[in-house]
Amino acid sequence: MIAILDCTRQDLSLLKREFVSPIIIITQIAGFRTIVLPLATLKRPSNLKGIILTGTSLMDDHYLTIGLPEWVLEWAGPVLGICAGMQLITIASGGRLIPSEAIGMTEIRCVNGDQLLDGKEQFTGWELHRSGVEISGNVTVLARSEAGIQMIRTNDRPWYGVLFHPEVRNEWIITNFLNICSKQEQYLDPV
Amino acid sequence: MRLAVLLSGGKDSLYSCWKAMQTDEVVCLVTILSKNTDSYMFHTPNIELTRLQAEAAEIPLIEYQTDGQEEVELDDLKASLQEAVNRFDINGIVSGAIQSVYQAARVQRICLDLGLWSFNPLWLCNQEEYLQELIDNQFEIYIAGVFSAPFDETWLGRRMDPRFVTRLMSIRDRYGISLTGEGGEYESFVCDAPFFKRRIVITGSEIIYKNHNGRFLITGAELEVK
Repeated sequence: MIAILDCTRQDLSLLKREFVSPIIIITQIAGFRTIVLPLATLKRPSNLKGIILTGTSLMDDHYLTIGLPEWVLEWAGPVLGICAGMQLITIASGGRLIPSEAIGMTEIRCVNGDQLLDGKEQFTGWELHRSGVEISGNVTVLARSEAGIQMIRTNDRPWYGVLFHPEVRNEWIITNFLNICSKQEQYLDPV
Repeated sequence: MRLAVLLSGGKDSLYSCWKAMQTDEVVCLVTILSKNTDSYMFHTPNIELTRLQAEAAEIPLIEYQTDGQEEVELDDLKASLQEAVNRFDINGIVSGAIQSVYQAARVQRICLDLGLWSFNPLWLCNQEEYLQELIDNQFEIYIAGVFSAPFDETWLGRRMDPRFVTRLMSIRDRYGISLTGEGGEYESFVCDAPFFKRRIVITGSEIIYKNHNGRFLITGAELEVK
């Protein structure tokens, strides 16, 4: 089971069609069962293999007032944070957000190898954000664009962040993440 | 939220309008009348008939002229949305983009400049399911333009029905066309939608076609009680 944590503002259900539904489609095509939960969900679902944190609209910063729930912070298994999701991972791992406005396709260069990248060296990605990230020491940068950091991985567990939207023209990143999830044993509930 | 819908007259903008109406308030429609028939941004066949669609849906329409020059037309789009802010106090706009990063990026940038929310209810949708949903919900859609192989004259003015979808799917893989025509392969015109109070009846039309490039021009149309 993959939990898709919906980072969009819950009273604007039109956003789900744009930022959550494409992730559900890609995950289900890859053969995974999905459960979609609002970011503010307090209880961890069972039989979890991975968590995807979605992005949201340019005008939406409600997710910053919610932050990652405790059960996600305690989770040792794979996480993929997309845009807003990457910003939440950055904050949770001691980094910070910086103003950085980007809309449209951008060149992305891989700077550190990882199974998520599957040997790719560069590609173009769809950006839609008003904040970039500055990371803390416990995080490795996997890819950059001219404007700054585009992909990260935390050093102590398989938590990934991508600032661009891989559901647009880069579904392979989500599929690679799901492959990472399928190789992991199911994580036990924290004692 | 008070929303404006970018209306081209085709299925994607009217479906997006319908979806937006289910959760939010659509207070006006906005049509850009472009003089450039090759615009990457704006759809043109029968564009002046969005007036009838707005009347059928009983939603006010803002019509805005542009010469359709690349990039300058974006200033015209921005001005039309500013007018929607001034006249209807909108908070956001809805567009029918499915995959086009060209259109989506430009609309997103204009919205950000104007402090408006941008909604794309069809973004990256399952195109087969979407076409089925249009048919299941009685959208009455006609092919208004064809602009690529293998579309020939016989497609023009055809109603989008289950047979049409089957035929589209059979040529999709061979010719690499998008099912929804978002790559510019075809354009459509909507005569009826679930939220229309009246429907449009076509009373006159003309077909112009040459080398996989054709238009179904509606020369006469009127509203009829549903």
